[in-house]
Amino acid sequence: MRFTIYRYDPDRDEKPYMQDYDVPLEPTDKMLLDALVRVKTHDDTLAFRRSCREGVCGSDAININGKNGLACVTKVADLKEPVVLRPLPGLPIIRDLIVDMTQFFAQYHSVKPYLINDEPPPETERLQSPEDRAELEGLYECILCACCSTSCPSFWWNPDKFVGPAGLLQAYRFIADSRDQATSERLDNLEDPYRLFRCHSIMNCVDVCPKSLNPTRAIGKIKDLMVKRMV
Amino acid sequence: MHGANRLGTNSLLDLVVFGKSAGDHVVESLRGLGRARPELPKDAADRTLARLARLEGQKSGEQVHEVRLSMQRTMQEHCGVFRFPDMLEAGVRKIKEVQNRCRHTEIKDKSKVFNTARIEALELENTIEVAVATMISAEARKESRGAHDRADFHERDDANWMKHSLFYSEGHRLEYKRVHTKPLSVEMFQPKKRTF
Ligand code: SF4
Ligand code: SF4
Ligand code: FES
Repeated sequence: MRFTIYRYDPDRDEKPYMQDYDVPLEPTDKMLLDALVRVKTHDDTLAFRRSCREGVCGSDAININGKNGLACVTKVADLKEPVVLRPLPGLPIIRDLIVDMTQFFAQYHSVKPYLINDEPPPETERLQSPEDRAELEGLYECILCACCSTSCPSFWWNPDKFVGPAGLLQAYRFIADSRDQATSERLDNLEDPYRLFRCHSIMNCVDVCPKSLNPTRAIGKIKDLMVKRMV
Repeated sequence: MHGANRLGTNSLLDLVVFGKSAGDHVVESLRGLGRARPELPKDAADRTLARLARLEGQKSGEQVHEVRLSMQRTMQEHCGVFRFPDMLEAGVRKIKEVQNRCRHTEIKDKSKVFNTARIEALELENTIEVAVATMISAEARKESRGAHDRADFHERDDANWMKHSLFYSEGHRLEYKRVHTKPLSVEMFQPKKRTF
């Protein structure tokens, strides 16, 4: 299979370049991650992140033939050759396909992605009705792979100011949680020309999410709540 | 720790509980020391640095992925869920050979930046320790326990084997430690055979 892969090692290279590989795959190499691991057996200097190899850890997000996705859940058979692989767009590149996620996680942390509830913890779990629990469907499954935020033009231009789809999805995940008591604090935190309102519903995020989540819808719901509390 | 066991996720709970306990213990004992911390031995980093230097200087040798595959195949074939005495014996021999090969792996990538080839080479040296410990302990244990079935000893044998295997990598030495059956703070769940 033919690949064209972005290469850059600041320790060795003056500037980035694209390297071609033509590597025979084994019948067991079903997913793009298998293929990448195969390429690495021919050239161990190719650097990429991976861990779970089953779409759970979020570490092997890359740009695949122009579209962000997880290598481990992308079928080799579906790819047009040469397969062009680049690091996720918009974030600083550490080396080859590995980007620096600091900015992405800083935005994630900024929405306080944890339960806020000042009541003393009960003896057992904080219970939730099945209906309340259902509100979290499509929100809690996010694996923080950054495919969405790094496909969002608003995030490219203002990664320091705009929370981005991944962070906003998680903000809404706690707003929607019946056990969380910080809804108004969370809305205050997003009441800003950039943090929330830079989203122009371009929907790139929805298009690329490997877990089929819908950040745009969550963002819409936060905007609705903002409007509601103003009137 | 959690009484009724199942195989999956045990390790995760162990990590969380004993990880916390170990962390608490470290903090507690450091507190007692105040500022007077004992000096690190002068050679504290030597073993680790030697591993790195070996990889750095290695100009020829086997590829990490080849040796790793041999380790995986050996464990899969000789030390799976269904175990056979002759296979285990041959497995001990084979996995020791693979361990020797681990000392001569070569990586082309010598970069100082996010060097995943080096990480994989070091990981191989770590995992082979576990593989060797597993194979040798399994070969020595003449019973079937947990999910494992040993063809020449189908039954669980509490009289002789209700004990922990302790493996020492120097000299591939095995020792045993008794299992505590006294409850520490909660009622003990009676040990019994694992059935499906
Ligand atoms: S819908 Fe909003 S968050 Fe998603 S890609 Fe578009 S601008 Fe970005
Ligand atoms: S919303 Fe989807 S694309 Fe975005 S970080 Fe979560 S899992 Fe990845
Ligand atoms: S390797 Fe974990 S998501 Fe792909």
